[in-house]
Amino acid sequence: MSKKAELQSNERRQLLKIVGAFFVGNAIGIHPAFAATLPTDQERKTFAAFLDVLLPRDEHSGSASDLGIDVKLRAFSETDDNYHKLIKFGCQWLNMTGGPPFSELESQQQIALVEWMTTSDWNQIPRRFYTLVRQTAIELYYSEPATWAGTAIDSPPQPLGYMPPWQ
Amino acid sequence: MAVNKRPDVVVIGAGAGGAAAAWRLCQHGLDVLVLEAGPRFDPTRDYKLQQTDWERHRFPLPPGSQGEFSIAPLAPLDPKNADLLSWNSAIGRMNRGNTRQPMGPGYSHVQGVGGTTLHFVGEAQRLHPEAMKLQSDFGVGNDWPLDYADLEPYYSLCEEVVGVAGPAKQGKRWRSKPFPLPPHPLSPSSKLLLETGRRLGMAWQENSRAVLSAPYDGRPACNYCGNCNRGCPLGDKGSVDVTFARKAEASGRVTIKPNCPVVNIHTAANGRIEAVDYLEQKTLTRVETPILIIAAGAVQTPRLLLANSNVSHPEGLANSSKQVGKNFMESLGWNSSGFVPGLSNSHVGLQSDAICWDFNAPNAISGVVGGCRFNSSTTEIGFNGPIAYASRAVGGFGKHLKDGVRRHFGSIMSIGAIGEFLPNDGSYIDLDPNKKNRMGMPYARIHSRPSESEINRLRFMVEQCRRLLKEAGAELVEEFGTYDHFSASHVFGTCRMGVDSKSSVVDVNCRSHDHSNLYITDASIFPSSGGGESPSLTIEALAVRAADMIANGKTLPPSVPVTQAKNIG
Repeated sequence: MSKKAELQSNERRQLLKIVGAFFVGNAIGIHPAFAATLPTDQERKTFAAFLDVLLPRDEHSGSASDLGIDVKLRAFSETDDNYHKLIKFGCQWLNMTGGPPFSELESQQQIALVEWMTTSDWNQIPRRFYTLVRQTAIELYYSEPATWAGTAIDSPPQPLGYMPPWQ
Repeated sequence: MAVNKRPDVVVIGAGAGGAAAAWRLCQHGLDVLVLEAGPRFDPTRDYKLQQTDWERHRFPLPPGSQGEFSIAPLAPLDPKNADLLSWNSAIGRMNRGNTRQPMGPGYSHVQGVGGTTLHFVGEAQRLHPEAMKLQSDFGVGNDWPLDYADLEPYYSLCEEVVGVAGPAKQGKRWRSKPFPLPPHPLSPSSKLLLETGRRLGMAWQENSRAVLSAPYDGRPACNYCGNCNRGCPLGDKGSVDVTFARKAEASGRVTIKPNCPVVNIHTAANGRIEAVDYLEQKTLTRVETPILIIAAGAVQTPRLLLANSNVSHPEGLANSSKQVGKNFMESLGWNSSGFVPGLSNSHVGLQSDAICWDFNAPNAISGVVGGCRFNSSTTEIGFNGPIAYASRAVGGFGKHLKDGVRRHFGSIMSIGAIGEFLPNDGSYIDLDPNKKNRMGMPYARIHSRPSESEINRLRFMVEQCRRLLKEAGAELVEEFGTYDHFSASHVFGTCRMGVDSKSSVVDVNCRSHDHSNLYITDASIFPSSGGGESPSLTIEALAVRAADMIANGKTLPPSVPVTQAKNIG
């Protein structure tokens, strides 16, 4: 089965809306000279590690990679050229610290690096990568009922609704 | 080309104005053909509220469910209005450019059987009587050629068809009958909002809603899932597909044809509309139009009229006044949201269940003519699921993000405001010279320029929203408005009604001044936008009234008609 088919079409459509809005809304594109190539093993590890820094495992729910969000987003990236290139750029940047690859950094080092990304120049790759990957990861992660533990919801709004009385 | 048998009336558009007119005409025993450019939706298939990823799905927009339009370059942003910029805790400023930008498609609407009522929140509000006389009373905007009293019986009738639930107390909006159903219970967020407003001297109350508070007319009561605008799968929301269109089809006198966009409108030598051509599965079909009603909305209706210009009507149909497409009025809107200590379960309950009309009258806001209204908007703007909390309200990442979503979920209170938009020369619809569809019809092009009075009114709206949230002890997490974004769902005015054929497009009965058998029954005929009232009930009331005039051959004193003819051709 192709990666494209693996990702349910509805899911893909929703992600395309987010990614499309991001690139169009912010008037950015990835340089066409940057060729999209298949991700390396290291890039896969880097991407999964980055997602787990964004959405780590805790006492209530698993991490992004525990729920397969990295696999879903990589599959999506193969259907959207801009997103694919942004991931490659972003992962390459994460591994340019001069030390070991991002996935092998200490947890506190990873967090410090991502923290820096959140306040970096909006017009540079690290900030764009952080912002868009965060948004798309959240969309998929919090679509999983396993992540709702600790909130006031445990099922979709229908068919039961939320009948009064309410506290 | 296929030729259809001749119905008594052809209606373009199966939204609020088209379906309501069709229903009433069927009641009068007329045969009606409704041509709808968009699809027919299947709530059980198309709405996703039973899925675990429900929050990712806004209202579905399959092919053909959006009208064709473009948006002309929008206004530059003025640094002096920095207090009106949209932002949230997760991403900061939402518009990082120097000009106003469309939010999503910009013009939020649905083309399909039910029209924009399919995704509307479902407020069922009557216009403030004083909002209909802006020119006479305040020297701005335009007067309606009829009064609240002329519409009141039709408001009541439409409320019965829809099954409106609301409280008895309605201020200046006097009523000849009570609402068909009692008001809905207030959500936790709105209960707190009422208490907060009371401390500030504001009179908040239950909103009047086109949503069933009890089983009614074969439809179930609402179960308060809080997602009306994602599409109601139960049928308790009074969208047109389950009210006017359903009843019209039950009469056996109407044929509603989805996916049938009208391409051409033909006129006869005497100025009457002779026939329309529509596409049905790639076949162009012509149908005669003894009476034609256009109800395609304030963007697509002027497009149809302008695009069908001919030798006899070089400025477009119904456009001897040159007012078709002018006077475009959009939604002036704002929402402020904040975490409120002690508030929980704000994700449950009916959308927009509470309202404040204190500043709705045209002279209610100091220093600017034109009113506004405030409403509870927590679930309406999507703060009812963890994705919204994580992506908009809780910033950062990691433990901070996940803990924050759990800690704050259900504690957001959002307050919305919608205000009057006065017509101005920079806001209009024309035909896009650079974009045409496959049939060669130019796209509608939206020009929008809020003027200084709109900015001032918006600022008042913003200040009140912030004042309320401050009083509630809230920590602001998101503010969104139409200063830096073009985000319109209520649009009006592009074929305005009036008594003078030189300055208006249709008369008091919604009949074209230029074509004696052409009527328009959508919000394009509104001479003014009102002070933030949602327009669907007024559209329906005007449409039903127009249908009565058509069917009875009864017309109120005419304006200055270009051609005279009997109503039924």
